[in-house]
Amino acid sequence: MLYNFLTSYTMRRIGSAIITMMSASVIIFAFIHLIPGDPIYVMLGDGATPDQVKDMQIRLGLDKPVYIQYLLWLYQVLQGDLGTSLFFQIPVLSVIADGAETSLLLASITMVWVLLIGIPIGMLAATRQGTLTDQAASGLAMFFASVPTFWVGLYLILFFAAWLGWLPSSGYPSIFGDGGLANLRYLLLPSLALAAPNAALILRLTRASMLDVSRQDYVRTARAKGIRPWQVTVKHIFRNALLAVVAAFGFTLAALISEAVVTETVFALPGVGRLVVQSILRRDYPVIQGVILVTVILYLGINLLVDLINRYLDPRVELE
Amino acid sequence: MLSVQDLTVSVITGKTPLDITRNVSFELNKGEILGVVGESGCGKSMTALAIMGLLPKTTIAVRSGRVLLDDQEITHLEPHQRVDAGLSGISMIFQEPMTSLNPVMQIGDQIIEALLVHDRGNMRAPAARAKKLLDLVHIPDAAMQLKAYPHELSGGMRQRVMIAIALACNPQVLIADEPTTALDVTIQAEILSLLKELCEELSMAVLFITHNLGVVAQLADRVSVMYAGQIVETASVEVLFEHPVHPYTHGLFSCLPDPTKRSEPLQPIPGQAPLITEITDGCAFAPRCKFKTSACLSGSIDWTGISNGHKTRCHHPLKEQK
Repeated sequence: MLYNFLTSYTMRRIGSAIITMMSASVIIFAFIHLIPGDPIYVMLGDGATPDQVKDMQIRLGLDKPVYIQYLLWLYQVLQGDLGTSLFFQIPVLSVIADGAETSLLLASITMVWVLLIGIPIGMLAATRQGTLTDQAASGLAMFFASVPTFWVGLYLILFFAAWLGWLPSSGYPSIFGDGGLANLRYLLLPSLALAAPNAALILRLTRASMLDVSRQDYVRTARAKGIRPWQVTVKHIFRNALLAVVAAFGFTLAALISEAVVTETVFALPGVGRLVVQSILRRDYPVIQGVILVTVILYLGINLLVDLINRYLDPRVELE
Repeated sequence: MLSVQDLTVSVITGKTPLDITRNVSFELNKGEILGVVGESGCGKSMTALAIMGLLPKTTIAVRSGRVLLDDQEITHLEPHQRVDAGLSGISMIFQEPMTSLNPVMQIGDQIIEALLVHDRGNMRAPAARAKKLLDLVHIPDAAMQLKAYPHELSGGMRQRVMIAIALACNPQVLIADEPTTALDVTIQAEILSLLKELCEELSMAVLFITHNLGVVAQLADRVSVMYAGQIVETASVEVLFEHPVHPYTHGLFSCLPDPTKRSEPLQPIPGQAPLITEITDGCAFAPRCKFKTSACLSGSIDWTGISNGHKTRCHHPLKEQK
């Protein structure tokens, strides 16, 4: 019975993600039409001949009715064909794939920092509420949540790369090439810069949520049982505080995606973030469109995952 | 068995401590049910939490007085320290069964957690023992319910689970702090009869805290009436209901609706209970009392014995029958 219920929640949640994805796809498709003026001239430049324009129209399918254009586009997208980059003249998907290694590794390492720094220190601050430890942790968190990522990035470069010379300041050679896994050191500073505001956020949330839960009646019940204080903290307070923290992961990851654009630029990383910035400067619309599409899919996927984890952690969760 | 002596609980955050309860003393014997009656804010719950060792020590603490369990002092020990010292004989159930259970833990696990702490010699088959406890508190289909989460149970069922958790701690004394206030009247009666039954079966003492005189009449052997942080009258249930002598106790009875006197208006006690910041020397009830004299306004009011086991903190105990 419980299994059926769980499966049906999962199914409904996936269903709603698909509906959201379809709505998003319409907006992303319309993106190409949002380009000011005639997109053909914008793409080809003012010196285009009528033949070239006609060619381009047919290539982009702009000569057909809009709904046909959408369906054709959708059909191609479902086959993994996101069009061709105007700048690189190769499929958009492989342009994105080139940056994916950097970006995915950067995001993963950042999330590890966020969890490793945010949750334990948040717990510590909550259990020592009002002490110097708490004030120091909360103060630093407030600071890092307030300063922009690029500022933290620049100071990290200044300190660890320029002064101490411990770590490289820019670039990232693939871990599959020369140097192997040791190349991950190139991602150390960028991931720390990117983790700073997000770890600060998770830290503050963990702390606040633990303090909130520790005032609940059931925590008093747990204490009354005579179990050890650390058991009360872990099994009763933290376990419930985690619900709010996990729910915030979705937002943290979304913030990560946009902050990665800045960080990859500051550290000159060959990732998807920098690709976006360069593509905008190059007016490489199919690439921008493709990145938006992939980002939306990623975002929906992460949120789906977060919701399913929360469903697992909290037996009360129900889709209304 | 449980002896509370001159217990004064105070808010200790300010420059001078503010007393929430003042010199609360009582004895609780094996198998006995003592009802503590009083209005909200009179210090009943704080007394209970102090006895339990659950006060939030940084803000509210026991300033003076002692709590003894079988002649061993446990006043300043928290529950887990009492477990370590082998003095964990007191359990407690609370007013809000809806929020007193961990929402993300199966109730079986919540009971087992208590079992494992209080019965270290017997680690085998905790699930079977948890099921026995659920049977003991009359939860139908106990084996299934072990796997249930609190939100799947009704308020009455949750309070039974709370009682099962309390029993898992092997208590000699059970403190019940308004355990039926949040429940429907029919469920309330079931929980009360369950408590009475357990008290007899397990020869456990119960400290029953309530603002409801009817519940006390139904359940308790003896009653202590609290007002503004002090016990003002103590007697057996029969005596107190027959012959309340403290003007406050008398006032409480006058507030009860009586179906035989429908045409007469209820007689609320004039004025309001004082805030803890307003309590001064003398009798705290004096400002609302029509029998007060100048003697009531200064010094501390000592106990006056009325009859065997019946005493009051009043200079002018009422003489006439109610």
